[in-house]
Amino acid sequence: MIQRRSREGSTEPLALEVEGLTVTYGKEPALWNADVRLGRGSLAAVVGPNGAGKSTLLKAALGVVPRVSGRVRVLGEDPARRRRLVAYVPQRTSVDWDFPTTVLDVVMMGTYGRLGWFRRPGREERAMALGALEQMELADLADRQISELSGGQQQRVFLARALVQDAEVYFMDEPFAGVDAVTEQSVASLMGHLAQRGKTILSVHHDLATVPRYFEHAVLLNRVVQAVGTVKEVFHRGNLDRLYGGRVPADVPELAST
Amino acid sequence: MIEFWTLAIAAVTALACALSGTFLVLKREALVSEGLAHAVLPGIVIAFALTGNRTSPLLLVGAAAMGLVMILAVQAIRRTGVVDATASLGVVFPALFSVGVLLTSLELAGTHFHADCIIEGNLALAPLDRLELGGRDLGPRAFWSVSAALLLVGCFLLLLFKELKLLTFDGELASSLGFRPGRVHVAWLAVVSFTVVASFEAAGSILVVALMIAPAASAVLWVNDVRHVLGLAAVLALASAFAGHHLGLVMDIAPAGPMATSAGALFLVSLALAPRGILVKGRARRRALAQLEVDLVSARLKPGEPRDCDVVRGELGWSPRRFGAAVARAVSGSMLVHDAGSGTLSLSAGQAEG
Repeated sequence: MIQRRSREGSTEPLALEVEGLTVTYGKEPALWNADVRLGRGSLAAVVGPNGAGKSTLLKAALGVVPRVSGRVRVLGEDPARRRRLVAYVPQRTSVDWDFPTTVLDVVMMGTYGRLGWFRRPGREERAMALGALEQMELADLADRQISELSGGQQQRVFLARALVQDAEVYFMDEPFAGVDAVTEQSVASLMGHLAQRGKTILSVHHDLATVPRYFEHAVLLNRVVQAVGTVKEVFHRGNLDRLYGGRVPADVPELAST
Repeated sequence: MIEFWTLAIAAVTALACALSGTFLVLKREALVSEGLAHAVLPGIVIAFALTGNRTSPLLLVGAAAMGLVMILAVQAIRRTGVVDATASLGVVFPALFSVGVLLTSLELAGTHFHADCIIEGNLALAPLDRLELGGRDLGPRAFWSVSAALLLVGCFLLLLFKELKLLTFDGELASSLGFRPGRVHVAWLAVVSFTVVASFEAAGSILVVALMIAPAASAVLWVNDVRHVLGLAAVLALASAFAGHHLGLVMDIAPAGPMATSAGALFLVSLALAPRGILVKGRARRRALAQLEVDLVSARLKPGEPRDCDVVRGELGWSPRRFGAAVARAVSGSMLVHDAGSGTLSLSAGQAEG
């Protein structure tokens, strides 16, 4: 249970509250009776083997997958009523980067939520998108065709799009996947800045070695939630061996010992 | 006057098809147009059987609804996870088409609803089938039905361009923002379905696919913005309509075929010449390779230390021809100096300083 910076005590709603969540797509449940509670300002990694339901947990938190049972609350409300306060960064490979559009246009998509139905983005939205590009050091790529971007630039474009949403809670699906060292640094420092400003981040993460460096909290997931807590408390070899069935590479550094 | 109406019907049909086809191309589901074009046939026949009237507007709506049924059936089959999207499309649309063919032969024997007309439409005769209201002649019926389709497509794009673009590029973001991409997509496909049905008379079930896909597939090779793709697809569609109509007159054949052929020819031209076409890409690749070869030769030289050509060539393992060409390029770009007398290569003075 993570309760950070809840200065006002118990009156402040948690950033994310998942209770008894079960989700299934077919034969076996993707998530079984999952409980996750994240306080505001948490910087949390979701860790677990392939098919552990990590992306499903994010999508349930976004309210876009049907749940068989359980309850999801984002900032104390149903996710459907919190869309304006939530930003989602999908996997970079989930979209068609040959789509005919520019970097600026993709970032402006982050403003569509506040625009709502039918309204088109205007000058104000454009300025917001340019600001976010500036922040991700992509300003000179604003008019670039998205098909010309490198993997790292694609990821930063996605993060700029999330920044434009000016959300309270950020759900990210593998923002570090397949990016170079420079981008990895800028993604990590962006996450740090957001968390410092009291924003909450829940990010699917695959590289066990960097979990202690980039995250403060960890959700260990393999269809069931094995542990949730600070990296110090839960991210140790005993838990990880259990999570990965004893197949954690021995050279994962920075693991707290059991 | 008949020629004018033929051309008008052709132009509006091409426009409506191209605009509605663009998002199919962008969403990489172009085959849906083919599916719709076949699946609407039983809808047309059933609506005809129910109304007993080939000219009823209900015919359009009924057939479009049948197209939507196909879309939903395909989605339902795909959701079972047993077969993929194209396979389920491949199962559903021939099934519905065969029902249509069966019903056609039962219901429409003796009417002027022939198999030919189903496949390539009947644009040449379309101007003769007039829409009359209160005894007044309002022009050909086909013109009004394709205009209705164009209006529908235009309104949808004006209202929901942003939403359509978002769900086409990133459906996950669209759902996380609450834009209900599934429903918007189905609503859009209903509009596409209506367009297919309305274009049936002018273009038939096979040629409508060419008019939907070819202009957009050409446009994406030229321009890099969804709006521009829509605009250029519209221009190319109109060009195909005019060219096809003209060809039809010259060759004294029905215009629908030449229209589709023109659209296909424009695609071939685009594929060859457009910035994203094969010629430009191939030239860029050859140029990059040529530069790389020059760099590779230069990298084997140190400032102020000439080396024997054959030794350098041996290290690179290149044929004399390839090596000679690379050296010639490097010399003409004053990167290298080739001393023919001693048979040595050295970096040019400017290069050595750099």
